[in-house]
Amino acid sequence: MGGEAPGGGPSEGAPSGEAPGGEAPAGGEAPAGGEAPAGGEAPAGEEGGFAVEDESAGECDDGFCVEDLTEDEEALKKELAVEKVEVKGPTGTLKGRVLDSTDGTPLIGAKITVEGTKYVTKSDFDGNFELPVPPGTYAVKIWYDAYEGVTVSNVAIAADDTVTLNRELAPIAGMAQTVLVETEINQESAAGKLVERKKSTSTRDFMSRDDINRAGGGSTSAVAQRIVATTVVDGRFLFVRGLGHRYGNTLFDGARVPSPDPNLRTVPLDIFPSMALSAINIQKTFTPDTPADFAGGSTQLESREPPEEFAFSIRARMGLNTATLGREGRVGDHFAGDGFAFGNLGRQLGPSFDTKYPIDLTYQPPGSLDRVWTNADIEKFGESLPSTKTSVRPHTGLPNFSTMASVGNTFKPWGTRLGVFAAAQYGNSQQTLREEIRVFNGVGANDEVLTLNTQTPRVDYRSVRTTFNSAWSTLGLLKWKLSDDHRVSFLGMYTRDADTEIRELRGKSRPTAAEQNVVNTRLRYQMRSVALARLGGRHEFPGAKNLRVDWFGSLAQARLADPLLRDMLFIERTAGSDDYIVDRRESGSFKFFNLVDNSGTGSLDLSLPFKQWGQLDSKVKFGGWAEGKQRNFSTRTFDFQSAQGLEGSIPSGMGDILNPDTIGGGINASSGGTAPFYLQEITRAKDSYTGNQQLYAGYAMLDLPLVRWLRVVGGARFESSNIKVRPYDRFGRPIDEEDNANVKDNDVLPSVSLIFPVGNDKTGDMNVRLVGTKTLARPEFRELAPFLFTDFVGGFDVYGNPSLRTTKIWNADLRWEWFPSANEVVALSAFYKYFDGPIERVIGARATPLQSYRNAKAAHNIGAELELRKNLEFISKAIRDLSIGANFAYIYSRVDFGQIDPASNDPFAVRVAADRPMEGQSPFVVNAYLAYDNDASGTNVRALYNTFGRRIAFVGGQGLPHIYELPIHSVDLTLRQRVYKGLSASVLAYNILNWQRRFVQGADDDITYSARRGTTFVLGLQYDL
Amino acid sequence: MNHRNAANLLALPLTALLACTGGEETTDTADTADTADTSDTAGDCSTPTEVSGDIDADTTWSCDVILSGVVTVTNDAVLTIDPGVTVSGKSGSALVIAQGSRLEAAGTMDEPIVFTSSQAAGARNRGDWGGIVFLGRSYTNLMAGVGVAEGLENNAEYGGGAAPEADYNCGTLKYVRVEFAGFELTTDNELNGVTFYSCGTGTTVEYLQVHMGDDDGIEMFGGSWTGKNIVITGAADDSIDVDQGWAGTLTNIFIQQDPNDGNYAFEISNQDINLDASPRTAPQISMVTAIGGSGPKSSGIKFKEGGSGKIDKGIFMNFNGAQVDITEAETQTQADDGTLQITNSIFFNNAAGGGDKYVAEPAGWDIASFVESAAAGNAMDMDPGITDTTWGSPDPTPVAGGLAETMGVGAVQGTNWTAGWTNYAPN
Repeated sequence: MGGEAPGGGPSEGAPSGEAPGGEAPAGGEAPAGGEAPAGGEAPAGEEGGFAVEDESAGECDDGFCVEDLTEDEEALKKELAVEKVEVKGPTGTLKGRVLDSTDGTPLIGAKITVEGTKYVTKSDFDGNFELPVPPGTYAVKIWYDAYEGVTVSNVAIAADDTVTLNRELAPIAGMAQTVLVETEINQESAAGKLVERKKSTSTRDFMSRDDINRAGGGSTSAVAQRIVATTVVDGRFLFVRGLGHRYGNTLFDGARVPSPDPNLRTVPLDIFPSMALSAINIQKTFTPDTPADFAGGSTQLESREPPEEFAFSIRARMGLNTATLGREGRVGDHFAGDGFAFGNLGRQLGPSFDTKYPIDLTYQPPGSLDRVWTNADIEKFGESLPSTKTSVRPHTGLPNFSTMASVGNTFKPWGTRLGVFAAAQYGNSQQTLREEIRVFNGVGANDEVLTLNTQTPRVDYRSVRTTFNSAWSTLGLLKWKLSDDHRVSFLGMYTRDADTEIRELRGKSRPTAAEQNVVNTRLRYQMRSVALARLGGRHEFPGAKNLRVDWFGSLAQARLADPLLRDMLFIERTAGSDDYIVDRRESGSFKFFNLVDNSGTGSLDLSLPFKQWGQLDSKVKFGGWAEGKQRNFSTRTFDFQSAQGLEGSIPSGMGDILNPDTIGGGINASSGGTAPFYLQEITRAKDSYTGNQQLYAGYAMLDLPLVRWLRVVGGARFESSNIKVRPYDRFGRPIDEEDNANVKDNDVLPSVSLIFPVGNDKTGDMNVRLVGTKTLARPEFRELAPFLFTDFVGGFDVYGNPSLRTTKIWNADLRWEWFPSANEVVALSAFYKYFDGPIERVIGARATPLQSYRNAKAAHNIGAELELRKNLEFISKAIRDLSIGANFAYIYSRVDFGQIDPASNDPFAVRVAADRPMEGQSPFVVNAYLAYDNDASGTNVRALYNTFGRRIAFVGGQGLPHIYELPIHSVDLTLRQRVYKGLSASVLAYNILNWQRRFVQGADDDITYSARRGTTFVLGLQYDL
Repeated sequence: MNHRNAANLLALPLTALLACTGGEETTDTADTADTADTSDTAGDCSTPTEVSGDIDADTTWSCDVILSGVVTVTNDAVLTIDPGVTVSGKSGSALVIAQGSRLEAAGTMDEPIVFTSSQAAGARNRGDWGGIVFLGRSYTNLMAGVGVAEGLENNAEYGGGAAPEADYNCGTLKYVRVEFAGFELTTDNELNGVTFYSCGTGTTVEYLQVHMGDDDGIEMFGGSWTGKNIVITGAADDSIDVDQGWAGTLTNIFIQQDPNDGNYAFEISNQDINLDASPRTAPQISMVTAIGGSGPKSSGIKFKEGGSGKIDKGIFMNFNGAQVDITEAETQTQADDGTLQITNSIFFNNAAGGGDKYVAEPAGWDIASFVESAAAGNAMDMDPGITDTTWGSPDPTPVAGGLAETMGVGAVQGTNWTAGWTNYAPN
């Protein structure tokens, strides 16, 4: 029996792994959501797509979207009519074309304003505009409802000259969709090359990059932090509306991206090079044309458009973390390739370990009493491990470093347009945490919540833990526009990162020893990689009533290599002596995990526009989706045993006590042995497993404006999924049938949205929408597999549960939104989610902590969200560059485990019925920001604030109170300044308050875990050509 | 037909999964595919049967048996083992008696039933195989009265829930030796020699030796039964570990630790999650001889985590560490209330490693006075006079006229009941 326990510990899942549950809904954006334009290629806000997506429903932050007017000639003309201001005297001309950046279709009625003047126009049916203006240098604003506006500064126009400003706008953040692009800095004007700039074509690609820079992000996750309604957890994972890993999915241009971590469904965002993205969309309400396996949000990344002309960017950054830099951390042994995430190769077991039988001296094959291994074999195996070094040494923290580069161009072979883009990033970082870890037991009657015993905690450790991360990724894009009607694109991506974790826990582990201190060390290396290839296309057939066809096929591979995980436990010989000796029975564990996920997706969407009876623009869309996934997870587990009778020869101290002198073949003392340690394999028969999933889906949906003030978008998706998990043993030992998992589902998943445009000229744009959908959350392979993982001596044993079933979720969303003016929004929404059979972690009734998963009977989440965004120009012109925003979300959540059948005697049913929110769900989340953007000076400043309400980090078991995570108040500050031409500098400060992260338990909030991550300062330089 | 001398037999190489050819084996029903293949026709028991999987019908082992993997007696079946049978466990094996099922292993002094390692004699070590696990339906003080056994997964539930059967019968262990058990089923999770989960008063344990286990000798989680004449030698962890409300009686207990290994002779805990869980652990232990070793963790008696109980007429000698630990305030309260008692015992030559003789946490509680008070009647630092404390050949019989004989304490008074059926060979 060892040490730590439920809850608190150094355990992966928990504190260290960060936020078990969800970071709550951050933002006010669309809690409930709108219709969500899906992100990826087709579904997303394409012009050709459902109007509800990119247009009326389309999340208009800046203004209301009135796109259903496009086919209504009269209304459209009226809409496009502009009161022209005649120019007297010398005249120059500003002309250009405004397109949708996601698919290049024209934006009709986009507004072009010369700031500070009354010159204004709108784009025509083809997206073209032409505006005569007096000669001068202007800032020109191009904006469009529901799209991110662009302000091009320093536009110099000479008499009789024509300046062309072609721009592509991206859909902006809205109820269901959030896009990063906000404004564009005209780089060349900043450089003063006004004349050259005149002829320059649009630089739409910079838009995203620019905004990404403004947000202070180098990594995609840092960028995402700005997105409302979301929270970035652990600097890597994007959670939407407070729902954790289980309730999200990740698509890149529509193709599913597998997670390289078997315990987490969410894909860490920092694996994507932000330079390659045009947008991160968060779809919060389900539409039938996207996979239905989410409830919080579907994270949809969109690749950028390659630049029109040759463009090149390079960036370098250095980071300084106050908890790490110059302070004492820990380091273990080094392997070749550690710096480039290839350290797993040297840590893998050699080919000699590819044995037919377990490497166990006493192993006798079935039907035989002959040993298959000799003492010499066993000694050789012990000495052939990739490393038997277990010592943990002090290390002084160093700065972090990262760099990123991208290059792109557009070629025009045979009259077509071929855009090419490539990006690569590389970084090295380290983080040291000093943690406080306690595990409590308690006292009380059997049927009540216990009072914690804080006088003598079961476990009371102080840790020093250093994690070294090396990461790199590359991405290539080809986008080939064969004609206006036909486009083909290819995306290839490979990303690889590795964490080297060195952990040292010191203190009391009372189950091991009441008096003596113990030291628990761990050396771990985890490499994760994702490869993704996607080929897709879009075809429009004007001859066939403008039928549009979108398709793609993708292949992906995710890998996790977790080789040579080494755990040791040392105990003081006598209390207070500081003279440590290895605890032979709880030490010397060497584990090897390997996971490979292969998956493929194929998708076909057809959409057909038509006019309804009142000649309003309508659309029907249908399509299909096929997806296959295959996983192989394999493990080997070894433990060094001590030869009987040689316990007295075990060396003292915490050095590399496992070495050729001490590793033997298991010859005991009475047989003349001298070496105290020998290797024994203890791989369980069912620790390895294969997982398979086939998913087929088809859908049909209709977008139909019934009348001017009511639009209906509805449809249904049918999904048929078959998940199989099969544990297997590499040595052929038998496995119980009952350990196999089969989860089959056939679901019809409806989605209906009603949109009421209620605004008028006086109020500004206003919208009410009501959405009802049904979605799913399927169990993960790992949750179905009987694989056992114990994080540390005495820690949680975590098992899967083969009898889990799929969670069905009914979602209802009501939203009112008002856009008093461009860039201003007030939105209020309410949502309700009913979870049928949500999968929750449960604690088993056992002396040493045991955790598994069960379907609760139901859960209810009721929430309200409020969002405000305001430019401060209304206070004073002097602060017109300042804007503020805030969002607040409140979520009431309750899980219902139903009545426990006393006769069932399910040891996991114990005490889970307690009235509580879903694990990880915060009752509230607050985000606020203050932004200063001065295009003239090239200055962007952002201050961001986030906090969340206290939430359950670990459910209690056996009467122990739940462990809660206390709120953290975090403030990030990012500052970016253009220095010269394409050169800009940035200073970022993350986690300025350095709030202590704390997990507490019991009535007095006794601390079970605490740590400070430190403040990170990042200095960056970027050059764009 | 019975083979007392298993070692000879096991030296025979087996070339296939052989069914026992002994005619005395019977089963009630036909075996299924994953049922232990133990039925067979006539024969002479010349080669032991290798058994794996579940035993889901009443079965009798009259011939020697080899366990392969975790063999679970389930489906309310009764496994009967005849006197003299040797059950040899291969690496990774264990015998689990699931809820509703029973093990009837009643040997005799001349023909004890031996559970041992399948390795050749002399090459046997701790942890060669798992051990025996009983899963009963008596009570446990875990919330809701149910629990999951450690190291096991399927068929691992124990405890009678809301309606525990106090008289539940897990079976019989009589003249039984369990040797070289304690295989590490999962990382750092070794099985005990014999583990009794929620076994009730119907259970019979007499003349049981657990020798050279890599975890505890025997461990009880809940339940209550009477054990007599028990020998625990060479346990790598605690010799006798009591948890989760066990409130039975143990009489005539001989414990000897390996000189290099072992933790507590007795570790008595109420529950490590809820220190005040009820029913509270309260064993009644008397007539004990416990001889310690010089391993770094070797210690005598530990009451912890709210445990109560009485130890009377014991001998505790030669422990490297403390002779008595009483930790956690809830446990000390039991001592103050008189529900925790250590009386009429002899303590001799303890804390030989130079540490403290007592450990109390929280430290303020006066443990020395508790143990050494006149009312407790303990004899401190006086040689009890044991015939032989040599590791490998002990004789717990008190020397004539010695303190142990005078006081009438210790595992043996009169006839040396430990002789004749036990084994002290370290390998």
